Amino acid sequence: MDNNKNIQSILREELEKEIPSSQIELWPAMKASLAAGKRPLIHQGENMNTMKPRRISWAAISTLIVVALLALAFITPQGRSFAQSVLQFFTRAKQDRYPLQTWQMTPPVQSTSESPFKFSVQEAESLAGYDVLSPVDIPFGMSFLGASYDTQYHIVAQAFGSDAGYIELSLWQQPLEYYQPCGDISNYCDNMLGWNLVGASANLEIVQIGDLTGEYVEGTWSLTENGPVWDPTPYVKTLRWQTDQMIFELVGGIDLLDRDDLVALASSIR
Amino acid sequence: MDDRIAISRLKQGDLNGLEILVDRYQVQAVHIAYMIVYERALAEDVAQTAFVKVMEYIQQFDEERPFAPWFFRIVVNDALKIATRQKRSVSLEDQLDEPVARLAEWLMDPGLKPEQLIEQKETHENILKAIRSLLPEQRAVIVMRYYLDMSEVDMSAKLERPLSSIKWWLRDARKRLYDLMRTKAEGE
Repeated sequence: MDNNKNIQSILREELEKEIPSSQIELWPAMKASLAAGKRPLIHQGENMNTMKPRRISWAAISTLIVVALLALAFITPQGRSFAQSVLQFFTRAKQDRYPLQTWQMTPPVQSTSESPFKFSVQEAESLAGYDVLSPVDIPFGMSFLGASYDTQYHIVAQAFGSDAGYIELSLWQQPLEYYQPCGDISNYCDNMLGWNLVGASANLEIVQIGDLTGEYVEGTWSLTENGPVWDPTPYVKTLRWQTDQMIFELVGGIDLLDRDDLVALASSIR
Repeated sequence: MDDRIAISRLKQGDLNGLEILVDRYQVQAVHIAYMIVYERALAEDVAQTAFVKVMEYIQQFDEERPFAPWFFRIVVNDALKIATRQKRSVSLEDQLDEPVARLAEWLMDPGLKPEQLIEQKETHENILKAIRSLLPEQRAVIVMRYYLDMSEVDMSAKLERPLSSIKWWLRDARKRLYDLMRTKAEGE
């Protein structure tokens, strides 16, 4: 038996002593939670601060009330209309499905196959002329793949993901003075941060990022041969927020990151 | 019933498919999570949450791929997120007694007279303590290397990190134990 097998055998033995297999029975609790329509158990980190009772500030209570009202507002058609009026960063389209758009029939020719994520953060910063912010902790299993700079819209994007080059997370930022929404879906738009349209049925959530408010949505437009269709896939997650000078967008594309992960990442950028 | 049939059932909304997967993988899932978070209740929470994620994302899972590596990656990553947020690190200076130090030496170089160490009761008793003394990411690597018996190449693929990073983590984990062991030895 090789050494790894020896260690494995000892580990299994010790773990069995610590938590016997016969005592592990997850299904009854899971079944009960699923039957009750609850997502079982933790939202990671939730039950870690049970030792210290926390003082809830009035600011936090006010925020909770506002968030609750906004959540309520999304339930009714009138509420949705109201909610759209208070959305800051996304724009809700009038429908989820559109006919084939002119710009779909004449897709732009790619001038190069070279990845735009070819710069270091420092290089992107020097091209952009502003501070480029990055998450303090890159998610486990990912690495920084590179940064890009869009000279037309002054957008810096950073890509993170597997070393095979598959992008699993990207962070976009643009000075507010250059921000310009693309508008209606009929407009061709290569302004990546200006493209803020989501489907009529998109489930938008207001989230708190430190002292700032952000908006979170799962889904993306699927460009079918019959036209753009809003696909509420949880596989594409987008979080938008802004400071007094800059607009940011985090886009996660894998199932290992959830809303709270994106919020934590957004809170950590420096 | 093999995994593919269970997954296929789950994709059709049949919760019996999930029950089969839970029954098959719950022990490993809890044990893996425990080696990273070192708290039983949390480990069980991590395992349950991972199964719920399986249910949520099952439509995107390719049934031709093996289920276990995909699932255990979710468990390892979720446990890591919690361990990192907890910042529950153990001070090795307080924990590292002689048997742990010997075990640390073995982990640094598993080729070093394993038969002698394996026979010692202290080795068995201290192995979890030795792993607990590592940083969360290093624990994850040790778990995958030794518990899941993944090769460094497999680990690199699962964690989507270059092989050099995995090797660096393993080396760093061993070096950290070695340095602390020396500190302990010099203090005696």
